Amino acid sequence: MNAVQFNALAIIFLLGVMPFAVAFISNAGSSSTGTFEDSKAFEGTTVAAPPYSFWMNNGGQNYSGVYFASDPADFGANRTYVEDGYCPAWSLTTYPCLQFFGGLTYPGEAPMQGITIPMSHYYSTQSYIGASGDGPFSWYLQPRMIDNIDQETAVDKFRFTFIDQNVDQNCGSSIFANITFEGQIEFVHDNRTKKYAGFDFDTSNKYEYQTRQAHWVDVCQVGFQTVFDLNGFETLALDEFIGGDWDNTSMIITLNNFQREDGLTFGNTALPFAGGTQFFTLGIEHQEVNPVEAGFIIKTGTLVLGALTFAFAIASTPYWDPFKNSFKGVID
Amino acid sequence: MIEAIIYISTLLISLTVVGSAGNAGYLNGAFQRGFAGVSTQIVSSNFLLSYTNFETFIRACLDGKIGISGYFFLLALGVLLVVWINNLIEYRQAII
Repeated sequence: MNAVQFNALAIIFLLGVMPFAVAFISNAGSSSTGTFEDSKAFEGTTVAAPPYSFWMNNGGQNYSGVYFASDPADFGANRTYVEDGYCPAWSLTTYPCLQFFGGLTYPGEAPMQGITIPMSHYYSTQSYIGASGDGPFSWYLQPRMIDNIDQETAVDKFRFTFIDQNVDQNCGSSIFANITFEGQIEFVHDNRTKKYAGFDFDTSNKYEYQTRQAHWVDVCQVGFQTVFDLNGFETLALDEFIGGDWDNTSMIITLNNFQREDGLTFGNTALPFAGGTQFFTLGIEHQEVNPVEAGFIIKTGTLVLGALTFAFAIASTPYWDPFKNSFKGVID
Repeated sequence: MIEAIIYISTLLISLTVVGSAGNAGYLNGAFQRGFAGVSTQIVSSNFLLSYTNFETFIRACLDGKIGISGYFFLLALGVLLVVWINNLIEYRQAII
């Protein structure tokens, strides 16, 4: 082999072989059954018991001034915007300031087990103004919200479905738009937190599904799904962090920086959880993986890749030339 | 740290490409060499950072999420980069 061929081999190894091997290892370690399971059981622990879940952020403070102007009375819920679980404009500075308990949807009402949660301005005495800004929206979900996740299992993916089931829309309605936003998921266990950020979502606020009313009907409602897909190492790190103890693990889900794909200002673009006096439906589903199997694949694969890389490094020196030794007389 | 590893790797790639082209009689002007080198590095580093999970993998290794296997991989990658840097300086090719 001449110098150009050797250089080409080096580039192929670094830009081709290594990324492919890394992708293979991480995907092999996070391969799950491929089917989502409800994270909340319909029967069993109710969501209407303490410790209650609560709003961490309800859309930013863009519109808090409007609510304040409409009812300046102290302790008026309309004075509140929620920021990191607190209501800074409220003289009652308790944490968390907007707890909720909600309820559960009945089988068939939604494609998954739904939890009904008060909308962003449910507690306002002022009618909903019609917009809540582009975020952040976040919720602190207590362990009872995910009590259908088996103990001692590792989770590879979480899927959250947000639906405003109060109003059926015309499927061609102009209320629907393509939107983008960012997501973050945080786990709280034993007073410690572990955060996974940088999830980008590109979707529509139209959610179409079949629901059981008097009979099964197709409906279009304001809503969307988000999938938080953890790679193999993140799944292992999470498993190590909570030790499979899902019964004592809370989650904080954050959605932020909402934008319309058509470039118009986000304004009062409909979001399933932004509104007043009503509830939205949150579906939580997950995919499990075997943490022992995933750990074995990732660690063994990494060890093999390390050994190959080390061998390639030695083969790049004059001291060992496997190509010449193996193909002497064939390639020169 | 992680970005440094990736930028060093892609710098080696661009030096290798420019060196090979030079040996073959192409890219004789300083501007051409500089342009080709910078372009190659930008494209390859963007590829590794944006289209692969190479960065996430190295971060996981550095953070100890993959245990001793991850540290061994980092050591092997470090040895590989050092060898290639030395080879490029001494012999003007990554693998000899």
